[in-house]
Amino acid sequence: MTGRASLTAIVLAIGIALLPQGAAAQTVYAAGQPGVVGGNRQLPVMVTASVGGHCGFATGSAPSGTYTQPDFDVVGLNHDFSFALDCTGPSRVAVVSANGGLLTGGSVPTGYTTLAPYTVALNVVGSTATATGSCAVSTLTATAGAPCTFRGPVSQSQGLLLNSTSVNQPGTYLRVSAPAYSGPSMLVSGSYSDTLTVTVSAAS
Amino acid sequence: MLANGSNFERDSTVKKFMLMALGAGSMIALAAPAAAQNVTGTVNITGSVAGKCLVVPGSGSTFGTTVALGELADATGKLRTNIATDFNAAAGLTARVVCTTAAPTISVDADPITAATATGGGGYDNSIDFTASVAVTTTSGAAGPFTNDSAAAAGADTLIGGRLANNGSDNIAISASNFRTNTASDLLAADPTYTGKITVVIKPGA
Repeated sequence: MTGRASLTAIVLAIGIALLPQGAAAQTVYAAGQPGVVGGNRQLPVMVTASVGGHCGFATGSAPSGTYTQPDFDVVGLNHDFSFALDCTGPSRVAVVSANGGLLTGGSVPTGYTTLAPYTVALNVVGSTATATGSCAVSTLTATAGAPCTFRGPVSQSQGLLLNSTSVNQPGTYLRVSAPAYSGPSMLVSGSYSDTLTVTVSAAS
Repeated sequence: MLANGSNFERDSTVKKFMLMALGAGSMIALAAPAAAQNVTGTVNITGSVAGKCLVVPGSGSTFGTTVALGELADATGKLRTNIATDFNAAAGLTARVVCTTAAPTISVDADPITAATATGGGGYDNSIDFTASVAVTTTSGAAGPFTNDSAAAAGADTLIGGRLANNGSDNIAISASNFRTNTASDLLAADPTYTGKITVVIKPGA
């Protein structure tokens, strides 16, 4: 058998496989016939597929950055971290706090504290709806006993639900705020910090 | 070849193609689930609390009172012997002070009780010295007392020895003792206004 003959056999096999059964018995293609180019018969193949909705942060618009507030015990906290979603369907956004408050190192005796509370609010804007929520940061830790409704990590059923598409919608933000500290325990001097991790997922 | 081939050969060739087609289709189908993957953003919040001391409740920077001792001389014209008792019985000599720092300091400065205009000398005195004392409560217990006599220079900043207690009770208590004239036999010069002062300064420390 020559190489050419072998190729022809394969092309014929393709034709049989893709054509309706009735047509298979009616049409045979061979080199030299119209429609056969260079020994190959070009056959259209219909491919149907679907692409699932995607959900994430808009390119370059994920929550990021650092907010620094000296003397926050006196002046409080107030800052918005703006971000944007890129979700072609309903989504959920969730937050986890690393420390459950602004934390400084060391241990202190009764009457003093190294952990300062603040509030975390979410405002997620969609094309037809807006979802909002607000929680004490102490309820956003991974181990919080009574967690906030949007405590992460996010899943299809956990997190603040935005029942709308949201593709680069403006106005979405994560807000941290606190009045001047007035707790019964005294904050000790030092440098404090916390990290908030924001996750987004398509909602079920 | 195909025309002469067996059914097995023909079927085998067709299955090869069908497997290839299924393979291609599978590659398309696998691309979609990646879209459900979670994505993450991270923000940081930092801040600071300065070293400071506060009068609580509230966030005041001063505390104090005025102790009115009334007539300072007894019937003989000499300094009353119960001045200290009267002073220490006065209200407002305690306070609650807290500091954000672990090693606050304290200084005490007592100024003598002196006549506004009357002069002394020759068996008369227009000034009453005394010793001021400040007891402090820290988170680990009593500290001090920290003292200063009005006849001496002002006390220097001194480490209290721990964090000031923050348990809802006053942790600073001021008292005075050893009220005296230059000599015990001196008579107090008459004057409607004698004034003295105790200054207590609590600082955050290093």
